[in-house]
Amino acid sequence: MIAAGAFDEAALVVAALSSRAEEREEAFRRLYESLSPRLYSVCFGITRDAADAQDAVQETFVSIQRALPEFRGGAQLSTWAYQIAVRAAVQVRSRRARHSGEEVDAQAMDPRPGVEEAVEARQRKAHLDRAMKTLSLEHRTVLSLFAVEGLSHQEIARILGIPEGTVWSRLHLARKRLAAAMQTSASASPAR
Amino acid sequence: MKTCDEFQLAIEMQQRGALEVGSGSEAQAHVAGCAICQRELAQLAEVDAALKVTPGAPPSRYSEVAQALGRDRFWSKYLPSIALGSFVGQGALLALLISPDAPLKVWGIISAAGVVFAAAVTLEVRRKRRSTLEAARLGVEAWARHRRAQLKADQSDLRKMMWILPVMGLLMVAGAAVMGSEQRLGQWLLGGTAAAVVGLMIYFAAVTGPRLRRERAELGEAS
Repeated sequence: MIAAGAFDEAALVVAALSSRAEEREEAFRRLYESLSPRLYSVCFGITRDAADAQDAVQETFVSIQRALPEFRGGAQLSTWAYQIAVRAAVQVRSRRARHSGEEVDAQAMDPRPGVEEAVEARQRKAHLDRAMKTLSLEHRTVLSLFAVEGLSHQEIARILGIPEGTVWSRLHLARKRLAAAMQTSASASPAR
Repeated sequence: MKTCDEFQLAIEMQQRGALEVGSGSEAQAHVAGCAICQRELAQLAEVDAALKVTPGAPPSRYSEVAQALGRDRFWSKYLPSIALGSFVGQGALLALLISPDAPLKVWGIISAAGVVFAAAVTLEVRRKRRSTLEAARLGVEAWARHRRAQLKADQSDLRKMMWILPVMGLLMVAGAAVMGSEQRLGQWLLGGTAAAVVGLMIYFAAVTGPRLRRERAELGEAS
């Protein structure tokens, strides 16, 4: 069971399929509030762009609504939502010609004077963003799911549809590549 | 003989409770005497800390999402009927404008096109629903594999279309040119279809092609 924001999935699915508009609306609002922060985190991990991540979350909910009448509970609703979110993030990113990295750089370049920790945190975030962009989708996806609080390796394996052992080794490799890329990024733009 | 990577992985699995404490003793002994493993494990811990700093949760955009859900519900339900109604209505108008002598024939042709278009829209709505359901059955990994193969096929089809469409357009224009002036209706239909074909070609070249390339680059090759 996916830990954070626990909710009764079965009841929510029934309510979301209700013929009464208010009941349906309420069910989707609760579903959105339960899942959207974690879906956003996954989508942001893949797209590294706040606007793209928000669009991907929106598309995820549209897809859920479209397919919910035929959802038979072969998978957990939240697992299914993560799977759809990964697809939506890939598609939103490829639909856009631009992939902005400027937002992150601007934050790193505009620290408030005297707040060293904030500067350091921003720089670390900038290095992380740059480093993530150099990774393959496979690695970005597994890292983004790993970053979601409460998602176990077993659940990540279920979302990706791969054995749990593969998740462990892929995650290990992805983190090593990320560490190397972060170091490269840090040495390419030393602390100001 | 085990590698440093394998020892590091064993330590991590043990730390996260995926391995029994006793089973990692060989790895612990190795790491205790290996400066490379110690440094790399420290780097991985830093990476984990950086990853766990989640991006500032965005303010709730449920009102926007609710609007998008409403729009999607409306169009999924009514688009085929709206498309059909639009063709039938426009057909009646065009029939009177183009062919006042035999309006029923033109109206019939345009309405038949509307039926085909509405059926295609219905199929597309169902296809989208099915493709979403596939995600639950396949998992991300299998979906990515499937999508890579699909993109390759789509790009190949698109390349063929970029030859076929101009030829079709030229044939239509040539057909319209050889028609006599008494066949004004045929000329209108062929000219209009040729213009639509050119528009489609421009759209494929400017939008679809680059999008397929970007998505293929994004999905990369399976490792």
